[in-house]
Amino acid sequence: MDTRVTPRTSTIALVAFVDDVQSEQWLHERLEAFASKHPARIILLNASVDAAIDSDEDLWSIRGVRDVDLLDLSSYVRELAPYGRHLGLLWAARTISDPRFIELAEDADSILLDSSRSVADASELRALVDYAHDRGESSVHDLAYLRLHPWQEAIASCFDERVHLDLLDSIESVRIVAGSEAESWYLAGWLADRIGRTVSHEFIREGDPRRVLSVTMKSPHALFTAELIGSDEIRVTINGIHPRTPRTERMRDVDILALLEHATLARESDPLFHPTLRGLHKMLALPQSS
Amino acid sequence: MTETATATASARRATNPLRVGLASDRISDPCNIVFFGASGDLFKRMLFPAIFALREKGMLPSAFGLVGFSRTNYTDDAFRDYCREQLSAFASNGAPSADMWDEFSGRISYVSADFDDEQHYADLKTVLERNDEELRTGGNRILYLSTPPSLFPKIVKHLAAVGLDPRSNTKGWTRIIIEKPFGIDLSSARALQAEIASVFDERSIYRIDHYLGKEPVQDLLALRFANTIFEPVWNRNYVDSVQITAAETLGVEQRGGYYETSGAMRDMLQNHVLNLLALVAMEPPTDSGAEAIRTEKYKVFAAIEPPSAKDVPTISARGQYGAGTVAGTNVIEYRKEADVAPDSNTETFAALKLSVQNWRWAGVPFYVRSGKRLARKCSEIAVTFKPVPHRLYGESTDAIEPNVLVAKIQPDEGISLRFEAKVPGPKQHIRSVFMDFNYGSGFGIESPPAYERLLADAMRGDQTLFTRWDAVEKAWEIVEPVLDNWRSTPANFPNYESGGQGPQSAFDIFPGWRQL
Repeated sequence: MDTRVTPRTSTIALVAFVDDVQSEQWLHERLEAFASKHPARIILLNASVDAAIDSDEDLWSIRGVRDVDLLDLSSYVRELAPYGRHLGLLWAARTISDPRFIELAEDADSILLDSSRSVADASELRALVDYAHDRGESSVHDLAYLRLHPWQEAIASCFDERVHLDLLDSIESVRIVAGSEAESWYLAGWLADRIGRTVSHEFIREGDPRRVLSVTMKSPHALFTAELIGSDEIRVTINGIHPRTPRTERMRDVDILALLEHATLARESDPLFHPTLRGLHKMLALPQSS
Repeated sequence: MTETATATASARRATNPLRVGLASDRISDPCNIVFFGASGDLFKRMLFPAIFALREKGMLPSAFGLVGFSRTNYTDDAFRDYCREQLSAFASNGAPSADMWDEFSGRISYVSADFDDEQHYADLKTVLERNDEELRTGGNRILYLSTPPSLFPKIVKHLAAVGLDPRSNTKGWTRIIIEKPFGIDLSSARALQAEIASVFDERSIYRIDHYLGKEPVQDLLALRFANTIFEPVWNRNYVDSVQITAAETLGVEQRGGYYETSGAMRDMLQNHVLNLLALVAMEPPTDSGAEAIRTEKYKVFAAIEPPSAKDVPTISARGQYGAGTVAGTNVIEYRKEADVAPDSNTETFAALKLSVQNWRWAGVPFYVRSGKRLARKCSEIAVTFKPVPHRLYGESTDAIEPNVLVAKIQPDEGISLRFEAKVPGPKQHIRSVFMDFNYGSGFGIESPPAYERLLADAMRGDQTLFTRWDAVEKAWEIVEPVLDNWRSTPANFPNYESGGQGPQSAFDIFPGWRQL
């Protein structure tokens, strides 16, 4: 860690929780980049190592928290986070069905998840949707969702023209191939919210985590396909009644730091994410909370 | 079909619900776009690269056709080759991929034209109807006039004669994009407007000013109306003066012939710079729609009283560059540039002091200037606030500078605020410090080129960033007395050195210009 970090004041406290060594290194680099741009108190809690203070710098604290009980965990945060600052929680652990998540989230002003690593199946997602719903949606963000914007753009571009827009309501099914579960659910949930109904969905798990490989929407008269070409292009094809020449669009390089900043610093609800959660609510047939 | 009729029809259409909340806008209806003057400089440097960039970004409709209409003799294939060469030379992504070019080039056609010959407009109509059939472009047409302005009336007349006007188009919409300058003075602008308005209604006319497509210009409204901290002090009570600068280091390059008939006032001040002034001074619009914003801009122009003949010498300055050094290179004087008269009286620098006579701005001077071959390329708006009312740090010998908010348009894009701070230490030393916001690093993405944005807007039918006739007319009314005075008064040119700060006369009307 660069101990020459210049800011000596902080405008935000960011608590990051991680439970495996590989993620810790990945996270550490992003947090350093974040801290170099925003005066922040960074508290990195690493549940993969024993309870110990690894490092306590002026603006950084790194602590091993394996086997630390819940009350001690939250007392660490209260002790280290400057009082009165916006407190963000970056949950980079493998599951949100973890009492430590509930404990830390209690005090957080905003929560940033990475469901690509934490949502393994529908039950995990159900827990997330439920949690976000109960908590009040405005303060929950998800890196997995933020990464999907190029795909949402690609899918939306299928229906910009009149002849194709007329087919939107006849979409019967969606098939999504992705390397982790959350992306598929989110895209399907977004689609369900936007068109006002759920469609039959099929999710195929294939490829690297966090990567979507293709999205195929089927109506009786047309097939709309968005597929990853190479590492950074999405090709959109429309076949059937009004075929369209394939279009290839380069995906903007998804800058994890930009996503981190967006989600951590945003105080308002995401105009896309929260409607998506509503769509997922319907898809998962959750009972409506009051 | 007129634009009004089209709008009524489109109100029945559902919009794409998947676009809600996404960063990019919907793709336009299928359409053809015709570039009059397609063998010219603007087309090859700006317009065609912008169109192809829209294609690369997936922002063109799949049913799309492009037709070049110009004097140079090309076959369709030769024109396609020409277009491809321009991408290699001028597009930010360079040469196109083979697949994409093969698909796109088939949509390009060309009409070799004599602008006086009506038959060639009839040929154009045939090409457009063929495209409607083969490319399924639906009868929607954009007619982009990127020719010398003297050809505008002629083109419009011929378009109407062969049935390429909106009223004759029963299948779709027809829009016309007109490059600046819109006229060369008030009377010619009115005459041009009369010609165009006899064929196109205002909803179909897109007067393009590419400055308005620049991201920082659009952000001016966000700065003012998406924040609470600026608007309360954005008035005569707190603002001391406003400076708007559009300075270039370049000379007239290859445009001497055009520039001789234009000059800095017509080329920059009457359109780009006054539009910036309107965005700075306008009242909050009732909504973010085109008409609300354009109405507020018009009201600013209406509140600027044109100078009287006797006031012109004290509120205006003009200059013409002499030889000098720009960025370490010796450059020639304007009168020795290609296609420039050796005794030319055309101004390459113009400055004005204007007053916006309304409740908000009464008494606040707006200083505007634009020039070529100046020390630095810089387009910016600087709002200088009033000095502190009481000098608390009386013992300090430091001057307390006023706060200045600068909206930087080019080459840097961002916002800077100057304020005073105490220098650390036991003494009460005060020094200016700056808070800077830079678009590139702030958002991590590049601003799209202005022409991309404006072409996409025109295809979508969004007129927000295009200038309405009443505002154009008022802008001419503001500068007309100055142009009259300059026409009738001999100039002592050249009167500023290339690479400098402009003529002394500019500092006579306002000594406080920001250093270039």
